[in-house]
Amino acid sequence: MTIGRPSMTPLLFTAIVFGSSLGAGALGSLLGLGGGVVVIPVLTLLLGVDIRLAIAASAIAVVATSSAGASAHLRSGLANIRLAAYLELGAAAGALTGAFLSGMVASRWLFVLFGVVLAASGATLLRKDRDADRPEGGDAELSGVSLDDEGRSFRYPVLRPRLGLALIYLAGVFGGLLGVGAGVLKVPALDVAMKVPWRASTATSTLMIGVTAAASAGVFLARGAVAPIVAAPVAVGIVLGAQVGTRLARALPSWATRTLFLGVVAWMSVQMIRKGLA
Amino acid sequence: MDVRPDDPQGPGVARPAPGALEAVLALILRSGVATATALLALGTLVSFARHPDYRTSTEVLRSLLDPEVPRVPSALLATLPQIRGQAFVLLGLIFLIATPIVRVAATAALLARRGERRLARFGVAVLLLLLASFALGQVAH
Repeated sequence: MTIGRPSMTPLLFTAIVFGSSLGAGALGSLLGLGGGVVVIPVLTLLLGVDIRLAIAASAIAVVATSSAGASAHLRSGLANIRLAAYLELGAAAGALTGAFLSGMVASRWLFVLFGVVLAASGATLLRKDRDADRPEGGDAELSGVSLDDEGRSFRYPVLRPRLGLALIYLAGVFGGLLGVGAGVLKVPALDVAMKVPWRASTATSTLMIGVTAAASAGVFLARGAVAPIVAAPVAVGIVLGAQVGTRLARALPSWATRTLFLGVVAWMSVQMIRKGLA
Repeated sequence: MDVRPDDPQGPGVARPAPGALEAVLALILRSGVATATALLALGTLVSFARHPDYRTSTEVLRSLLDPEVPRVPSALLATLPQIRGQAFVLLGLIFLIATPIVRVAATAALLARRGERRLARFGVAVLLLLLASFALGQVAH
């Protein structure tokens, strides 16, 4: 693979990475994603960075997205701390599993795996808006409060917490394999499996993905797999971009962010599968 | 979040406003990210200031992006007294990774203090897994 394609100076490379990370951060914090779903394709497909370095930088970026975005979601009251505390155990365990498995899987199959899982995740969201459904029962300790599109608050229960924990573990394995926060899988797990409203799902996912990524990033950093020339502009760009995304998340209606989420997932899925099979 | 029985929307329906727990955790995250971002930006600027060829050479990028080049954290940190850009970047990365770890620890402590022991135990287990990730990464290396 050609490094730094096309030929460019470190200054230009840094500027491009920083600029694209601004957009990734805004998009990531808006949709409850870690930005890794944008950062990895940009680094590998556009700039020719080795996927091992891209994955390590992405893990760093996800920590940045989560910490920057979750701060705002916590202040808005949408991030469910208790649900996150419960699910993070599965996420962290899965991430550790995935990080150690990543060296055993060939790069091209990581691309294909990423693309397939993205497509499957998007498919689960192709349904009518169910925020209007207010289920009852569930785990009272984990319940939270969300906002409908008219700005009214309502309490929601959390259903099937153990199923959710298992799904979050699997999402964590995927995140550890590819150095992404796996928000693209966690948001549907929260929304579809556990019936958490969309806004609370994206806010809580933003909080959780930092834990997953920190577990992976710790391994990558200790192994010397993080390239400062990549990780630094990615992290700074995403932190600054996330400030915009969290404000948009409160202003936009659920159907708009869900549609945007599906569009991002579909495009990324196609690009990654094509890359892996090329 | 804190339930407010006197909320004008009706009793028992809490407005999604931050309580003390959320406010403390948000402060931890903001502080960690701000410190890390400052160190990362500083390290990048120092690197470009000390290496003029970063602005003009297209060849140096190859070595900076070579995945086979070892980037041992302890060796990079040892260059901090020499005001090396990569050392500041590494320090920023450590702060960034530490931020959610500190947040998890604070969550466990605050939930335990409020008597929510089950969830506090989950938080402690997560913390141990996170700390293990560093130790195992070093062992594997």
